[in-house]
Amino acid sequence: MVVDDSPAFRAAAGVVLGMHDAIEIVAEAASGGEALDLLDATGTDLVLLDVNMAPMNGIDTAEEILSRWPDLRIVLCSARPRHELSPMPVSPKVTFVLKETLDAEAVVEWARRS
Amino acid sequence: VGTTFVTEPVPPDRLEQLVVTNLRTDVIAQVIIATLAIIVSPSGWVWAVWAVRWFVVGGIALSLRALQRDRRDRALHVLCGAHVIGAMLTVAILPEGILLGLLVVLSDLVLIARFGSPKRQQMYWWIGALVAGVLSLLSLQSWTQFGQTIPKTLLVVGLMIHVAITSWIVAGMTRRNAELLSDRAEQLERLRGRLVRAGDDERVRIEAALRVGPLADLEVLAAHINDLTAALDYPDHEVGREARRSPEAVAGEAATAAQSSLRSLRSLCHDISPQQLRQNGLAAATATLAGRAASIECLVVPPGRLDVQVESVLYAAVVELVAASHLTDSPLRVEITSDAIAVIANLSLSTQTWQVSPSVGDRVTALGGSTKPNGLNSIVIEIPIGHAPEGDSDETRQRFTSAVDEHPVLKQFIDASFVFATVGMIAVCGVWFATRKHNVAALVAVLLVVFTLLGFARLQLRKHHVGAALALVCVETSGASVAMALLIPESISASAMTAVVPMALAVTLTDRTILFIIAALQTAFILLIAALGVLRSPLLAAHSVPTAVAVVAIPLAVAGITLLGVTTSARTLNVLNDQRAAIAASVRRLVRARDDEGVRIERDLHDGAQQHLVSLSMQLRALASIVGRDMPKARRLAADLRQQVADASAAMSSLITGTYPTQLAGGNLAGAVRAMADRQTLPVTFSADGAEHLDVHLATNAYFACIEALQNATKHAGPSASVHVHVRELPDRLVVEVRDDGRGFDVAAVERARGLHHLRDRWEAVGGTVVVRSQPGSGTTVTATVPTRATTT
Repeated sequence: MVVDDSPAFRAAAGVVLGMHDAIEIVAEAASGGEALDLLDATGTDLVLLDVNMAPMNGIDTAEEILSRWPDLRIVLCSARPRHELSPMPVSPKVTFVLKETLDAEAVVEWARRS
Repeated sequence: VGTTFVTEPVPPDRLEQLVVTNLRTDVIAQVIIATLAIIVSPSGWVWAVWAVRWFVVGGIALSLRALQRDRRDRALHVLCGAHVIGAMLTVAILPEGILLGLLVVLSDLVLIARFGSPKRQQMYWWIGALVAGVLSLLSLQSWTQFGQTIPKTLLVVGLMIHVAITSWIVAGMTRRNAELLSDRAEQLERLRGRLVRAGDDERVRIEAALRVGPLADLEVLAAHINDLTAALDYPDHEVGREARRSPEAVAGEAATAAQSSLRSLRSLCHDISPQQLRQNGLAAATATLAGRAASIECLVVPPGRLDVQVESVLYAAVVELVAASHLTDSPLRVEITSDAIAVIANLSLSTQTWQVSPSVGDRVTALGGSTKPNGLNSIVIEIPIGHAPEGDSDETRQRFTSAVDEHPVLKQFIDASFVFATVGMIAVCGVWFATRKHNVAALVAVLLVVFTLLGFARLQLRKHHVGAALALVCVETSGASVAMALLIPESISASAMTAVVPMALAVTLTDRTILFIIAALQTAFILLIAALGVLRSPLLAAHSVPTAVAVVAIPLAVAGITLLGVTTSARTLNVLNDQRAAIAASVRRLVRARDDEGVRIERDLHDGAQQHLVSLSMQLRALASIVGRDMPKARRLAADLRQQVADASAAMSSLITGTYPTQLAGGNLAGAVRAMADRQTLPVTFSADGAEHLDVHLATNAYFACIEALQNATKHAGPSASVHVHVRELPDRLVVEVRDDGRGFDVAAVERARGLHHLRDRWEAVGGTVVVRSQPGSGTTVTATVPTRATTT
């Protein structure tokens, strides 16, 4: 599932991730709340989650997801480097990637490892 | 209410100066009096007065001491107390001193209006009026033989000189108070002009930066993607003029170009309005700066957030000084305390004096703060946080507009004079019925003339001829007071006070020559009254009215006139103060509008161009990875990317045009407005006479005023409305009219609307006027007029 308030990024993420055979985009959401509503129905394994969203930001959404769906993997992403953002949840199921360096191969590899 | 925002505390040394001067002149006067008394005839009461004056001198010295210990209120109490007791004793001993006593009381009241605590002023005024009444009562006793001890001419000349000096001082103080206030208003006006200009310059700078930065980058990116498409379609052919490159290499280059333009866009966004500052506050943003350069040490930062504008300007100052310290490569320390005081210190031992740029300085001033160097290598920026929130309250605004249009103080004064004259007329008629004295009957005639003059003054005021109305009031008060002093010698004190009053009214007049003439005339009239009074002493022996009437009516009249004079002068100052407060509020709104504009552009860039570039960059990398493996997919993606770049460029162009249309750089207001009118959602028609080669600054202001008016129309006129914009360049002025046929509104009720405020702030800053005409149901017309000469010279 791709969660970002920018349609341009959702589309691009779809293109980039969709290139890998192991990845299928099952849903898109424009906000953290919408993502939480959709998660049960979609059979998602991995969420690509933008940090910078309102009203519920990506970090809060990630924590909520971790507590409700502990098996889900979360890739937090942002256009800003990690040190400029609030601290992220510490868990083997969560990682961070800079938006423009998003790479399907790397995501799949990390998902298989964790 | 926001009347006291941008308060510049009165420098205490001014009061101290006045008291020192007072002390010095009084000591000199003591020496002169003693010398004269010894030469002429050392009689008992002269020495008694001399002793009383020493008491006053002692009071002044005490007051000076209190001032030096920084106890201003106490100093004022001691000073005025000494003056009052001294004046009463003097008049009790020597009734001829009445005029001097009254003028001393009046000058003390002016002093209090300037330096006293505002809460107690009314109380002071009442006490002052009471003292004036008591003084005039004391003066009614049989006068001494003072007049016979020295030659009468010498007495009159001496008295005239003294009265002239004292009343000149009173007038001078009142005038200086007013000048100080209007000077501050002028300073604020200039600041407002600079702020508007700086805002426009900023737009031009951003527009240029967007054009040479992101827009050019997108064009380069489009070229790269074209190359890529060509390389994908014809992998074996040459690409352009360059040597043959593999599609992988071209895709890699395009991805790198996207990366680098993303980096430059981010730094541009940061320049326009740092997101870090907006989201996490000054503390975090300054800490990031410190993190970036090892030579900055950020010491104290307040917890929580400050006012957004305050944070923004403090941050701008820090950034500026960080840049300056990079040049010298010296360590820097930034301290920001919770009361918005920033101390920025350069820790190296260079001797260069530090200063923030004029534009940051102006923003600090606009927020009511100050910047000053703090020793060597250090700057203190102080911005009060407890200022009034907006200052654009109804009351200030209304008072501001009415002050400009109608001169309310003069109107109130004329109305009060009518009441006074009516009461006087009733009293005089009563006395005349009882005594049948001819001089009392003559007073009735004088009062009739007074009524006529007041009526004419009111008429002139209604026609907005403030100068003529003021002149009539001056003639009325002076003429009446001289006539009174002639007809009823006992009324000398009341007459003298009456003649002083118009001076208080004249202080709002900007024309200093008129002010000077009025002050000179009033002083001359007071001299005349003084001479008449002295020549006719002893007063109660004059028997022009029954003693009971004189004893009751004259102190009352003197008290009333004193009160009227002082409150009139205070109200005049209030009007000036309100004008200043209104401009200050407008200045503050301008600072906020500029910050908001920066935030808007940054957000547009962040949500638009930056997202586009992030997406492009991601996809180009992905494309580079599949080239060679899956050519059809790569071709489809490349075609897609081409479209995306085109969309991004279009969005960027429209953002640039919205920031600063190119036509404005050539002063072509008509062209810029026509282009804008075409982009509106409502049907907008446009017509123009000239306005194609205006002053750039003027064109920019007029353009953004048009936008404000159009946005207002879009928001409020209703969906079915159409708008007509008409720009007319006349030889001496530019007129912009935005007329809609929409719902309309009640102008008085919506005066507060922010859009109208912004329009006014901008337009008044270039010396223009805005008239909004609307009625519910019959559309709205906004007409903005500005003199063209004022801004081109």
